Amino acid sequence: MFDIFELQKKLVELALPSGFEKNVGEYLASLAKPYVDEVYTDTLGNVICHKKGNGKKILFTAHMDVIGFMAGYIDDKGYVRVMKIGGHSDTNLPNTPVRFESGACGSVHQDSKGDLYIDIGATSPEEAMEMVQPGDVAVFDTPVFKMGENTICTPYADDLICCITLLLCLEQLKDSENDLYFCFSVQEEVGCRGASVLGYNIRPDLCIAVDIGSCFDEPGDKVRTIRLGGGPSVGLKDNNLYDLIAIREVEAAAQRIGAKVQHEISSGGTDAGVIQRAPGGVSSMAFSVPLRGIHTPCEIYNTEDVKVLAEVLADLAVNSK
Amino acid sequence: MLREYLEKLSNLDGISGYEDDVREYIASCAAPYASEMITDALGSLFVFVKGKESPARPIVVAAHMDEVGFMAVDITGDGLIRFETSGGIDPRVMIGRRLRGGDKKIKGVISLKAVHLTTRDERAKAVTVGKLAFDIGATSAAEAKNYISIGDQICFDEEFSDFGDGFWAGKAFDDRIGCAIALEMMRSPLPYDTWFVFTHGEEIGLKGAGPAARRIDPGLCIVLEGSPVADITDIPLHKHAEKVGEGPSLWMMDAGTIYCRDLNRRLKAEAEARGIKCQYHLSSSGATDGGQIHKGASGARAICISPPVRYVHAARGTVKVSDAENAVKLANLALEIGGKEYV
Amino acid sequence: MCEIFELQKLLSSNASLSGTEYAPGKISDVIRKLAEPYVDEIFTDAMGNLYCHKKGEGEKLMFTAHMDVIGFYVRSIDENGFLWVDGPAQKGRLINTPMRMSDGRKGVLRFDPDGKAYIDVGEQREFKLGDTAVFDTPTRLISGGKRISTPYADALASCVVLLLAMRDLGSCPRDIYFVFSTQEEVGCRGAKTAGQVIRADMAFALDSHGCGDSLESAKNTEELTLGGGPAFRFRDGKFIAHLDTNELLTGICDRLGIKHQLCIHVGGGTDATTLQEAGGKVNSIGIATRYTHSPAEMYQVSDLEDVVCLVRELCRRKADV
Repeated sequence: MFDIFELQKKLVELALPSGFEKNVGEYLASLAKPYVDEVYTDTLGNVICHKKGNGKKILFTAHMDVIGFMAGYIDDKGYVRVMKIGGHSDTNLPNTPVRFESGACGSVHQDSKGDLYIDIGATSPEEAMEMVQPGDVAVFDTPVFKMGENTICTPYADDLICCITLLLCLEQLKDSENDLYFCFSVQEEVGCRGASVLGYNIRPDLCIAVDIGSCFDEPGDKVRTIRLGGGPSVGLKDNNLYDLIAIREVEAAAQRIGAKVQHEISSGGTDAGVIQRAPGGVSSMAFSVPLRGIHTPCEIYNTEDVKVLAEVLADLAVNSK
Repeated sequence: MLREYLEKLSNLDGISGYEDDVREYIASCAAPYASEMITDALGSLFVFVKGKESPARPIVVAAHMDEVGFMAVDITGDGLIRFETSGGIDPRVMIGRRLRGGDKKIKGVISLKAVHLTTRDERAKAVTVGKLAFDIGATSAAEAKNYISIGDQICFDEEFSDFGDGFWAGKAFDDRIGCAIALEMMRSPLPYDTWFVFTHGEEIGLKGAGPAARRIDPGLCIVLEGSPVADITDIPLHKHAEKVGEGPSLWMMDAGTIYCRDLNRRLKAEAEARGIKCQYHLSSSGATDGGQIHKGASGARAICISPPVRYVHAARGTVKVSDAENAVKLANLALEIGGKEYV
Repeated sequence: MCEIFELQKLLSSNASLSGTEYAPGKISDVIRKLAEPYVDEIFTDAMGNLYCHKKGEGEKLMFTAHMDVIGFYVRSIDENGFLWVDGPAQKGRLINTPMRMSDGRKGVLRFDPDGKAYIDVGEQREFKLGDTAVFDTPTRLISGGKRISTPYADALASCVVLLLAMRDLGSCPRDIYFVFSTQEEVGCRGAKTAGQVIRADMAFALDSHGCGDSLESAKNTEELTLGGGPAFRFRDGKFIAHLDTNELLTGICDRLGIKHQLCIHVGGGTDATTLQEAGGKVNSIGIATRYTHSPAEMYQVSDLEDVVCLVRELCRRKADV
């Protein structure tokens, strides 16, 4: 039985920003392998776990890349200038602990003009270059912890908890006629680039992107849409307009198993939006884990929402006709 | 032949969608080496050159034919021509420039009224394109229409030349330098069969690149560009991105692509071992055709090689000859190593 | 194993807010256990100050390091379980910080649209008004072991200094008090009492002194740098050191070959301010620290070691020096 908290911790250790998904991809592939017929990786690094069937071709995605930083120019005092990978809000960043893939640790700060840099505690460029090279990538180095029995706070719930959700679905999956693709995609955070290639190569009949949905249940939220613990969220629209056929499929599966879902209209995009526009067009939607604090080093989700999402997917995978 | 190619290409005019003259010249230079040449519906040119071996998947070397410039949108009653930009141009670099427009390449100028006649407030405000006009010395719309029509391209009126201490100067080095490097590559025996793709419409949103990717479906894409470099006074060092004279740069990431770091690092080490100077481009702004090619079909690894060009997207850019020559060497090395292990 | 790192980690993970230092099981108890083997007696006062006394004949010498830290206390709890807090809430520097409550449970510090601070504790309930919260970011050994990134270098690093300095001093020609003071962060209140209790002939307040060598400040607001050695703040906005002590400190450093740095600080103070009120010659000794009062402060291990040497020499030097 996959343990959500333990897996979240493990994936946070392995995950790297967009473009550098190899390590986490290998690990996810190894966990998924026993449940499918074949596992392979494409040129961009997407990990595709294929459970063969003659029926409907269904593609589930969760992205394994996270937002982070790439080391750029290293100045004469050993400070590391950074290029942002993915959507950061600069106001969220000062004093955030970070960790480079080399193991070098430091913190992000803003200089007097507001430009970002990472301080790894070097005092010269030579000292810095022993620890970090231009092009090295860094992630948030904050803790993973519980806030109650079913509530987890962690960096990178987006989208690692959704990768975990696919695994939870796989382990309870019954035999199915359908041709199922469980994909751990790459480079979602920089524009769903991995999804572009997945859509082109696989051309499914139905696509469900498992991503996270921003909760609006915190102080100051005026329009209250989805909340933590209210059940997984069916995305009707964000910067993409999701397909009603796909939406009804998910709602039908939820109804069959008596699961409560929420609905949201939000902003941003998911892999489903890009796959929708694959050659020939694909019926697509986004099905999300409600999340507080998206893209901060402390994202919060409810594990019951996660489990229900996995159960709905497992039913849909088998019963979708 | 690098200088010859660049001189001719730089002097040709071709904004996005109007790349015909550029394409014609490139095609004529490539013809002796090509076993296949295709022009697609958007105007991109595909040149297939056979190499020693067939790669595991197709390899694309991409450079875009279009330059940034202007397009005539209206001719006023008093013979002035209103225009729009084609591609990203800072209005500040337009003021006082000489340009040439239309098939007749009529010469004119974009300018402001004399300083004597301006107020302090006017001088303090940034100028917008809507307030500018292209003046060819016509005094009526009828007269102007003899020389230029709505929809005609208008380009900076520059001639290529040697410059300073080992530099070349001219317009449209972004990306005629890339095109020149590609043509130069064709002249040596290639290690692998290669598709040289000269794209349409990069400057207006990487338009030709996606369809090009779907036509070829490459496993590796080497983009050739002219890098924006800001290594001039009073810009802080960390914003320079690269340094003129330090060789062509390898891009780490930009707004459209995360380039293949493994191949970049391999290339840098190999280049250094062979005495080819090169550097990393350490800024993440901007985008190249790589952005559409790497994800446009079934997935490709992408790198970008470019010599530093000062003053890109302005009338006249400069490139150090040695940086350009080293770019050819680096691109050839990229083909050799990339074609073997990164396709 | 770097003992300084281990001690910093231990103290930071037991960090206690001003006014709660002496509660059972809190920082005072942790420090007492560590100090016990090395001193002759330990006692406290009503302010919670912890006095570690190494008996001897001769002048009375006193060192203080404050064991309280900045943090937050719960002002109100809303119906959704969010804890509204008071404290040095600076949105730009503290947003999305993992926090640890006084009972060990965890939460996340956030700000509402009006800039008011609250802690999201997930499903956890049964908190009380007055419960305290401190930063729960990791303590990390960085830059190849040369520096430490941690919450609460201020002033737990100074506590580490005293804990190391008091070991195996042998017989010294003076009566020495290592005092872990309380409530420094809210106005050096513990030191005010401690000064009166001990009435030392000479007293030194140890603390973290802010560096100006990061890129955060446009120009050096302080002249201090990491690696510059012990920092002597001979005057600040509320304190002017006794001239004899200035010479004493620089003299010892020169004699021992310890590089040191001087600074004049414009703003507020250290325990030295209130210690001086009790009479006696007072000065301050600082560990240069970047990003003070953030969840990711940074100091150099060798600077701390140098301060330990300095403190030990102050204890052992001949009576007439």
